[in-house]
Amino acid sequence: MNKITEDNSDSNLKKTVDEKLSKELMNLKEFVVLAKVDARIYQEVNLEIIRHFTEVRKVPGVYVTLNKPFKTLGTFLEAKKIDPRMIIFIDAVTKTSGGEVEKKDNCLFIGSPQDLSDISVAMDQAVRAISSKVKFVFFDSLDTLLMYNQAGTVARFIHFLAGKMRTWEVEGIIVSLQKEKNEELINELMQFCDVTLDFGGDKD
Amino acid sequence: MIKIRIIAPLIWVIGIILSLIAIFKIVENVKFAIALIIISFGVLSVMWTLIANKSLSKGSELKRFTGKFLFCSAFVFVYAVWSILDELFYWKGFMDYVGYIFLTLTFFMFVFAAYHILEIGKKFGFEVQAKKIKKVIEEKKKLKSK
Repeated sequence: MNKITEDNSDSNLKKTVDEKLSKELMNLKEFVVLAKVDARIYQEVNLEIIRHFTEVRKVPGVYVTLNKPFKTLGTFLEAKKIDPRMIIFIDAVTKTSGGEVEKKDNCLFIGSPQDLSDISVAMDQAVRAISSKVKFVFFDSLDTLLMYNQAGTVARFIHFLAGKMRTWEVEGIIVSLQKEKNEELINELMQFCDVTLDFGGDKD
Repeated sequence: MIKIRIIAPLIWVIGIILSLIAIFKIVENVKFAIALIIISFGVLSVMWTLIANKSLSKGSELKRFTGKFLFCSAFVFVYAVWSILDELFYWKGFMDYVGYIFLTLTFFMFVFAAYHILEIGKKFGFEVQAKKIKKVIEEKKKLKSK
């Protein structure tokens, strides 16, 4: 019985994410989206967004994770039957030996979420390497960035990132948790983004 | 905006030319004048590298590379200064070899920096992954057409 309910909520979420992304981004060729996600459905929504890009729209891209280690992410993607071969991962959460940059398979491990210089260089190289005309950049997440860096630094980094996303001509998604604490920063960042998508759990 | 873009570098170029003329006018010895120019370029390169190093994230690969590059610039600078002093004071014996020590250290640092940039290229280069992605997209297209 539980399984059926779970399946139902899964397909509902899938439908919601697909509809929201298709409707809001229909007329935009390249964009920077700020996705506000409810903590209760955070992982599911993230995975559905990735599924929408790689499986529905068949677009390759770059996934920057400051939140979940690449290994864990791989398990989740596998469970959702999302093809990870379409994505280059940049993992700044799995601490590497000595906090140095390391590369394994299709993932580049950055020493720490504080290494904004390395994250920027890695993103730039990964995006430019993908030859496909349409590509996405998924940045997960603003909150983790805030845990390791000061609010001013984060705002400047996101401003820089939004500008870069436009230069790269990619479809960019910056994910943030829906928190009152973040509201001020989110309001500040909204001006750099084209669309703000609200994945607010029950509200949807 | 376009005017500023043209005028600013023009002022820079005129400024550099005027200061070069001034150096050659004030210092009549050509060798010494060239030495002064070399030193000013050296100071500028060390300063820019220091500023870059300061603005990069702590512990990042780029910061570490910039650190090595800073040593390269500093050693080249010291070697240049030493050569000028040698030229002025005609040092002999052991003093003559000190310059070579600086030169050797410079190339040592260059080798370290070059190896580091090779590593950065390997780590941050995604050409192999990008090729794999291209292959996957082609596979998926083929499957769809079937």
